Amino acid sequence: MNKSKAIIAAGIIGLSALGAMVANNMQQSSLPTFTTAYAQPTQIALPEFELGDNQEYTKALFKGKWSLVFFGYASCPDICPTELYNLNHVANIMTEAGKTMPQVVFISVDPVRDDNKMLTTYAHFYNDDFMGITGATSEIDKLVASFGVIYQKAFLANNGKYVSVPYSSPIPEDQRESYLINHSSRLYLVNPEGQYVAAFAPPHSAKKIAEDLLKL
Amino acid sequence: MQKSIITTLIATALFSTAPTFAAEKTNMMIMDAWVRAAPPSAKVQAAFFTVMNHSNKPIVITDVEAQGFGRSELHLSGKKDGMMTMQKQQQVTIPANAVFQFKPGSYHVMLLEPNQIAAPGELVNVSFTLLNGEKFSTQMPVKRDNSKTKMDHSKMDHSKMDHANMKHN
Repeated sequence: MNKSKAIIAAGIIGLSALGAMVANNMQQSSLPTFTTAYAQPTQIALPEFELGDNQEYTKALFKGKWSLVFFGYASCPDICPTELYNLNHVANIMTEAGKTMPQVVFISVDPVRDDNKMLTTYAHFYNDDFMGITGATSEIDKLVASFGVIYQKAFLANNGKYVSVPYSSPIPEDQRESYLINHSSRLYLVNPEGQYVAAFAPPHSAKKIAEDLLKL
Repeated sequence: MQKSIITTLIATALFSTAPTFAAEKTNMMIMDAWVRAAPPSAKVQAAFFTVMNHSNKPIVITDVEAQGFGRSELHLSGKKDGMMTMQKQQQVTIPANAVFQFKPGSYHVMLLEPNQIAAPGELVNVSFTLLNGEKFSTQMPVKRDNSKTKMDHSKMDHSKMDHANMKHN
């Protein structure tokens, strides 16, 4: 092996390493240093999924704009309304600051009771720009897995306590309409490349969420 | 008794809103009560309020009923196993000489099986039963948000809120 070939080989290796570092840095530099949000150690590309009545909501939903994703259900008495009112406050702060509010996507994990039309009305009650969507549990669960969401159905047992079971588990007939859902209440931030990049852990403050979003 | 009247007066002045209810026998007041507005398609609503116990004994709320709703329950939202959960409370104890808040993300009265979702501006009559058998009721206004009250008891930060952009339908 002659010397010049070795130098070229070393050069190529060095350049590739440099290239990888630059690429890596570029990816990281796209994310500001957040005050409140927890940045993911690696950016998680969202999987293929199909939600909506006509499977119109796919991965493309998250392309080209920042998104905030929250999982819940329309019969949620406290947590989901609190979150959506709070996100409306965030939207107001962003508007005041002249910044674009990320699209808010409320995903119902309760397709048995919720449908897309109703979820649109539901989301618009809080803010006309918010989206409310659902679909087959198998499709929802693809996103659930990517975001690391957990949710369970809770029904009122005879002893007056709520019992949690997996969503698809059968529950007493008289609870078919009134069951609750225990669910993660993190707010997920998805970048315009459709990657899950950071999460806001509860309790959520509109001001603090906006503070981080203003850095985007 | 005089002390309690003074306390009531001071509290009234402090909160700058009249108490929505003051129990006669049990020395307590319910203030700042509201039912959170929900989309017409919603199946539940929640009621929030502040209870002031002016007595030297704990007050125990054992039951709650709301006009226009088939079922009402005392609930506590909280975090368990990484999920937000709600647990039905058989009773809620208001400690002696304490101010106790039913607020979003914490204690609340869950209103289920609505005849019709209560709209902003309406009043919902909510009745409470205490452990000593005493019953009382209070009217709770339906609001989209309670942040406009002069004294915000919640820990939420609304300092940057722009009310001008809020929907008021």
